[in-house]
Amino acid sequence: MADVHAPDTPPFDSQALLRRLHGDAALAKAMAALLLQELPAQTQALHRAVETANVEGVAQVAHALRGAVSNFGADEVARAAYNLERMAVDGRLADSADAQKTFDDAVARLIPALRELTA
Amino acid sequence: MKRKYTILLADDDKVQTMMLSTQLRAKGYSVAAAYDATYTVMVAMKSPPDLIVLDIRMPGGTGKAALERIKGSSKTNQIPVIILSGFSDKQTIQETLALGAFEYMTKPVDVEKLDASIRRALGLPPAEPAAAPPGAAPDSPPPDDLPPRDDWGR
Repeated sequence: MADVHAPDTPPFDSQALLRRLHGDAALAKAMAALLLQELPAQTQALHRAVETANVEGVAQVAHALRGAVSNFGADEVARAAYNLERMAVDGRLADSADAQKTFDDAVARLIPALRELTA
Repeated sequence: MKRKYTILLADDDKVQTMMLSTQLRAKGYSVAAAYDATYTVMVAMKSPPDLIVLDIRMPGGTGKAALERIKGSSKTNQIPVIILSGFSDKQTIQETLALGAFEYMTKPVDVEKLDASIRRALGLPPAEPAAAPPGAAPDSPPPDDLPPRDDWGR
């Protein structure tokens, strides 16, 4: 898979988020705080599901993560979660090391950006 | 709205649920949340809401199974169910509509579109158009390099 991340691309689209919330900045902050709270546990659950070859678990968590970050326009994380979800559904979890790293890297970029929003 | 309609949001995505519950409350609805399929059915049976917004992929059984149980019980089969899902393939859409879902919407959803669907399902007149707040603008299309939404989830 090509690395679609460009250094200048923000990890999420704050304007898209605000548009979706019809300009409600307080709600955007609250959502970012909740996502920050959820991301570590969800990421951990995803890794655990991959390690135990829990296909349904991977698909479930990756799907939920994709839904959560899509509200933020966090396309890099959404795409990485989607890839893992597809790999689970297609029975290719054994080959998912690169996809997991891509996902982890994308999440690692997203977290500080979300923290900035909540500051 | 003359009376407060109760919406049950059934989705394991807490961020999505927070967003929609805040926005729907601001529109005058009373909102309850359920984070898995089993709990959704339990809440629907115990305190039937006026409408259910149901995700397809949830822990504790699928949203489809929850929909089947809701539509299969005389206590809940009159409750309109709007599917809100990351899946947008024809088969899933057809299956859920055949099971009795009122409408099928794909994530991420705009609350105005969801509200319009809720109003149709509840037989309410369309909402008066609100003035756009600063920063608000129509949804932009997804970037070209994202997987096509029709393909997401399968």
